[in-house]
Amino acid sequence: MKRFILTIFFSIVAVIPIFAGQINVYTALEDDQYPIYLESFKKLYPDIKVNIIRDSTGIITAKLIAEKSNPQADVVWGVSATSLLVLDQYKLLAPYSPKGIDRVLPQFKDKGKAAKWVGIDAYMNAFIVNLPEINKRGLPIPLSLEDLTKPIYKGLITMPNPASSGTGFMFVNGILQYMGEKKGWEYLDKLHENIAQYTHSGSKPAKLAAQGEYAIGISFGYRGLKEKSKGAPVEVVFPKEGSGWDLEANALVNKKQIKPEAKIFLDWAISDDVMPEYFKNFPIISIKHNFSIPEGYVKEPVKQLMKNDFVWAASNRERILKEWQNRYDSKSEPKK
Amino acid sequence: MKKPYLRLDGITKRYDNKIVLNSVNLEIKKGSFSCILGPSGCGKTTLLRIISGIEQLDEGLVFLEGDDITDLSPSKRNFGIVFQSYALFPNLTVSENIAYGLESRKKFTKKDKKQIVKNMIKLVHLEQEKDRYPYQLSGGQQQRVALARALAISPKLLLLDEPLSALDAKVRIELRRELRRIHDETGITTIMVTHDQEEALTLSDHIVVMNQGNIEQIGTPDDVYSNPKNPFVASFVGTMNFLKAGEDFFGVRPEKLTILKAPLADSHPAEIIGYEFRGSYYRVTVQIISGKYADNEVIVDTPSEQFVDTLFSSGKKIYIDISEKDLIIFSPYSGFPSLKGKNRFFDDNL
Amino acid sequence: MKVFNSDRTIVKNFLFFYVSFLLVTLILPMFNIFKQSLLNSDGDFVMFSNFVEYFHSPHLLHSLWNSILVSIITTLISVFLSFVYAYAIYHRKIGWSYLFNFVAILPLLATTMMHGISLVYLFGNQGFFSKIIPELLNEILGTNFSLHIPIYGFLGIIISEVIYTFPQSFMILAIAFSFADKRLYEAAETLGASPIKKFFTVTLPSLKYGLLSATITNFILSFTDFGAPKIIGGTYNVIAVDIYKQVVGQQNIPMGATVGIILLIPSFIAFIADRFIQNKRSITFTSKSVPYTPKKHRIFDNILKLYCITVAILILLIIGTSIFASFIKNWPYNFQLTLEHYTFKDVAGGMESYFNSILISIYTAVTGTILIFSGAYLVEKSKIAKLFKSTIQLLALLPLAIPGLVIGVAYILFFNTVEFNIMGFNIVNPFNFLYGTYTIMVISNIIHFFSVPFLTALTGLKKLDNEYETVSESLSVPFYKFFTKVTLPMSITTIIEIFFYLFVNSMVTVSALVFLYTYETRPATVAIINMEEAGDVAAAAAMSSLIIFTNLIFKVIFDLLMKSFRKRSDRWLKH
Repeated sequence: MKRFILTIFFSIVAVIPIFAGQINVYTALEDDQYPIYLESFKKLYPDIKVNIIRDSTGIITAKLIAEKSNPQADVVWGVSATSLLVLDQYKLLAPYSPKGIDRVLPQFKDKGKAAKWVGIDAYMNAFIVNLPEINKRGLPIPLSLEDLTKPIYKGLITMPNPASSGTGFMFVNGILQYMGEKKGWEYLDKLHENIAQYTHSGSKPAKLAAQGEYAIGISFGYRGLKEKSKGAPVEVVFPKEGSGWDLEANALVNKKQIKPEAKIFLDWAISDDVMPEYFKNFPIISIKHNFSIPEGYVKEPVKQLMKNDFVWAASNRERILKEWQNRYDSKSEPKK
Repeated sequence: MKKPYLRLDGITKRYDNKIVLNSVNLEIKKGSFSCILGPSGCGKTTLLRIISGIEQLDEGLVFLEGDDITDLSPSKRNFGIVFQSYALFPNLTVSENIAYGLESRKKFTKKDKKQIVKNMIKLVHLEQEKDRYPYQLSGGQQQRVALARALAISPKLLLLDEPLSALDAKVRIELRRELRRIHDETGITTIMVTHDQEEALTLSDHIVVMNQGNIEQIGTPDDVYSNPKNPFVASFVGTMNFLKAGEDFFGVRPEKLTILKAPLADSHPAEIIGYEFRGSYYRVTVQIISGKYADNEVIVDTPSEQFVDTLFSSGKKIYIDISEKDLIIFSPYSGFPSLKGKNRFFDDNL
Repeated sequence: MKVFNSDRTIVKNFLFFYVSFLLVTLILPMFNIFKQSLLNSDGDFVMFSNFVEYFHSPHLLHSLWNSILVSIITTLISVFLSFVYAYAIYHRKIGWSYLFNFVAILPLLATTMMHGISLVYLFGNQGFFSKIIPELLNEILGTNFSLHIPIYGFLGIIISEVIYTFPQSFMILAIAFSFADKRLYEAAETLGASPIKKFFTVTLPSLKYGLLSATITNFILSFTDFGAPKIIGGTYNVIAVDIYKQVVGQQNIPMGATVGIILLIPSFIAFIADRFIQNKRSITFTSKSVPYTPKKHRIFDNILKLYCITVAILILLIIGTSIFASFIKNWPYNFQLTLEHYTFKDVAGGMESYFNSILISIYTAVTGTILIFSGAYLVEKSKIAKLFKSTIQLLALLPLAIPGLVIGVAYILFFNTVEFNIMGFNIVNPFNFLYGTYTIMVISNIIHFFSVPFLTALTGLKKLDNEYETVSESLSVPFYKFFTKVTLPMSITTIIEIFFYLFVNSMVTVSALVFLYTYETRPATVAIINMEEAGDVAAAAAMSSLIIFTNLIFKVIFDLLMKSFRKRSDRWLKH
């Protein structure tokens, strides 16, 4: 009888793939970015199987928190620094200074003796504007945050939901820190009047703008430039007031069994094997370099960044999101 | 006396506290053909299913050739069973159906099996139909296949559960003879369940009459017909008149009574109140007017010519001859349910 | 002399395995989700405060009303449309029934996301009818006409759900119509009833239960559908998407469980109502019914035919648009035909997710068919105690009442827990290893789609004489031999039907899987959601098309197989 049950049991279990020397890497890097980054790792460490779990920043963050009693991830790679600080509050990060951390500029890494997180690059908000759609309506290209709230753009703008999207959160966070909370929410109220849709991901507003489905998308620079390079009739605008931004950073997940492969991965993730690849997509990387700025970005990208206090952002994240949902998520009617 | 082949000892079966079989004892001789006869709901099919092992019993023991087989599963008993619904496998041909039970028996070679199937097909006269599917066969042919399938495994016992009752009258009679012939040819001990007394009378060596979970009588057909132990058996097997005379209670078969034009020594004046033509004879309903059996209503089977003659010459007023030697004496309270109205006699089950 | 009986031991073992399987995959996860809905995020017992919070959250409450409104309107439209459609084909017998039937059930072979995607291409801001046609007209006529269709939101959800639910109610009503009893119509005619009177006195009453059943089914399907509102809902929130947002977007598990329970309640009521109706219905239909053939009425029948053609074209348009758009280089700027969207380069999931779906669907179909058929066999044919039979039957029908989203949430809650705290004891969860595997997705599919094929199997097995087993046993043929030699060949059409049902539904389902996938195991439907979330609509259309192509191929194979096998088994069972 036992054998009979075991046979059935194992025939079901047999479906599960089993690999040796594997790590689970949670990332918010884009679907069209990380496979290219990973190429060099696969070449260098063919024996280590990397399982990538990719989702929007908010979701990866929430997933890690939800799994806190039984962390599935070994490594967090390319997730916003704000989120990592949130994760640290849950004691989910293990301190580890990867090889070569000395090269990383101090403002791009954890101040602790053994760093809990290490930045790789910075990314920033941008508007992606569909030119034919704007021209057809005879509208000017919005150049500033202030422009976006003008009634002429009513129903033409999409932006990511900050609860699910890191891009969305860094936009809201940027506004609140730049304008102060009171004025910031007033601004978002006005912007809300013009928003046609809040999307799940940060990329989607850029793609909707590229397709002309909605003329203006609040997204991030890389996505807009990528769409433009693919031939979409769009202009990528970095707003006059500055851009909300965040770091993409790595961390080791605090769990019972920390695998040596996880550390190897983290060492590699800030090495010269991959840094130039990050730079191809983002103008600001966490080490000193003399690469030339990728095409389409502002000339001095660091100046484009708004003021951003990561610690403030992390400790207020939950409150901001709740406030945001109560203000805007209950919107029932689709905007005309 | 020889030891019985099959012996049932105190078989009791209940369904939801309702007793279906009430401590039944039965012995069956080797090579015999027995019929279990009774009205529907009397427990006869349950008894057969208990013999086969399909049904679990609550109390009692089953012995085959002296061995206790009570707890043996049907598959270990090696009995052949034929159901009323034939239960032929619709996706198998006649030959495949017959070969079905042989397949997992390792004692036969392939050649053996082929030979057995061939013999069986011959035995039931289905040479022409051996490659057909059940849906292409008539009801009688299907039942022959079922029979052959059961016989192919050379069963120790052949159990037939109302095998003929789904067939038309003509096919039934034909197949009845076939059953007997096959039994005589193979010599396999056979038990058949039926509610048809004619079937039981014509076919079997022994009849087991059952009623309400009890065996009422066991005997040869002649024995059961001529000497019924009680009014139930008397009325269930054949047709029986019941007469009341004071405290006495008799039974008499309709063919034992005679209609007379004129009185004789022992005759009783009577009046014809109805009759029906039955081919070679008339079944006449008669009311006895006076004498010992006054007020009894009886039926009399009278040869046709004789009855027409009587009716022509005497009209409705006749005499009826009741011979004492033909009377079966029952005790007044032998459990017969009612003597009033139409229950006064039981017609055969046709 | 007690004899060891191997057949009965196998049955006993199997029964044990079966009940444990359903316990682990159905009872415990469902029990757990109920429990979780009464806990806060730290795992403390808080009674109904999650529900209180739910009813005090304006955005969540609003979604509930939205869902109810959408479902009611969808149901009204869909039942009406399918009623007339079924009436025309099965009652008036206007002809072309194979074609009309085929088109009507096409949406079953597609994911609901596909309807949403097509609507974007047809009526979105760059849509065919909302942009391309008006601009073309403006160019020709020199006018300045513009059309705005608010397709994102209420309207889009309604259209998608009508397409989604149409085939379901059509099938229910088709069966109801084909049971129409000729004798009743003849009786009405001899009594001089007019056609209208006949419709109201004979046709409608005989369809009462069919209509009720269709209404309930449609309401629940649209109430619990996640795919279409996710794509086309815009800012119009519905409860099904809320669960996703709570669980996936915010990982707010207790609130996810709470919303899940709220989603479950109407489904459960409907389930009980539908069971009740099914029981009634089986009483009203007698096997003696004589099929009805109406008198032809040319004008009326032609109007009906026109109606059916229109509906069929609309369905084909919705399905076809995504297929068409998947071959367009860059809608609406570059209408060159291309296959590049089928490479799934740089988009979530990629081609692997398609193969994942195939793998999951095949596993679901194979193991599901075995489990479901053997379970039905246990209930219908075996000699196990009545109590076990009715327990299995009840458990087998229970999934009808549980929306896929709830199964998904229940599964992550149950299988992702390492240790359960039961009355102060920490007990290691032995099933935790299933989390994040293909296996858990296969199991969730099997449970999600358990009931309908289970009923199919029961019906199929009922046609087989109960004495077959007895005969076989008396002939000392082992059970497995009987099963392969008689039961399987006799049930082949039932088995194919179950296999097909499980395969097709596993290919198109997203609701439970969206909570259970990992990067490695992501199925095509989840990839569609991810692609759409990232704005890769053309790739999402291409993936949707791949799914429907696959299912169409299966459907053709299925029809051919069924045709040949059914002929044979119908003949076998002819008496």
